[in-house]
Amino acid sequence: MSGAGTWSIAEEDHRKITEHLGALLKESQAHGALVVDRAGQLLANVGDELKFDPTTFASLTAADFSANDQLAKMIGEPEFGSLFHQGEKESMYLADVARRVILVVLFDQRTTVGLVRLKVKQTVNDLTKVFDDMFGRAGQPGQQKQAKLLEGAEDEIDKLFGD
Amino acid sequence: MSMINYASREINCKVVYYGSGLGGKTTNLEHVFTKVAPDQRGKMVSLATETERTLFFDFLPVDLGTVRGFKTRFHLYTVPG
Ligand SMILES: Nc1nc2c(ncn2[C@@H]2O[C@H](COP(=O)(O)OP(=O)(O)OP(=O)(O)O)[C@@H](O)[C@H]2O)c(=O)[nH]1
Ligand SMILES: [Mg+2]
Repeated sequence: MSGAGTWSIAEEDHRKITEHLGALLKESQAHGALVVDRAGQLLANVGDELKFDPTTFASLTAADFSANDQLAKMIGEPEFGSLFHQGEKESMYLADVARRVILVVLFDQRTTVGLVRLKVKQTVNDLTKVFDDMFGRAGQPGQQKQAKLLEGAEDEIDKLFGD
Repeated sequence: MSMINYASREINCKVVYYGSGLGGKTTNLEHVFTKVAPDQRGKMVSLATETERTLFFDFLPVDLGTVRGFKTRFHLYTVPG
């Protein structure tokens, strides 16, 4: 990954993220966990099959977080590290990770917000490490991989727009 | 701006429309929505006032197909003018 908003996620990092999310679900009894970047792109998704469009969900999650960031500033807080949306059956808990991505946990009455909040703390620490490593590596070998992937891709993109 | 996920083999590109208020950004996105086959697009989300002005943003995900084995998706956004 690099600056200017363009970045990539390697398989190994994705595997680590997915493992941490899996552990969180097991310990918290939540039924879904997603990682979304601040620009609204879905990076990982673990748990029960989603009943909604994850792409749209990710985009709204990022918007939700930035709107709340501004609210936080208005009341004199640098940010809200986490948000909780309570529904009658389904609830969600959102937590900031390394100020770069958002962890979203979906849960219902099978667990409690207290347990989710407690377990999320560990996951945020684990994910922070993964993302710090990832961003620390920015501009390194991953870039070459990206260049290789994009080689000749232009023709394929032209083809997509051809018809 | 783009994001490449090597694990799920996905490329996501974000495209943002900006321009003057009531200039037709939302209308443009609605047009794209009607032109793209239903199986290639997601839901269009509009965070707008009742009087059509975009308040926060509009959003439309569009699947383009695959490039080098990577599922390629455009995220189209419009912002308020
Ligand atoms: N005649 C004409 N009217 C248009 C055209 N495109 C949009 N409009 C009209 O212009 C008005 C505003 O269009 P929007 O698409 O809501 O404009 P916008 O850029 O999204 O505006 P904001 O969200 O407020 O920034 C609507 O009533 C549209 O029907 C066009 O090509 N021709
Ligand atoms: Mg608009």
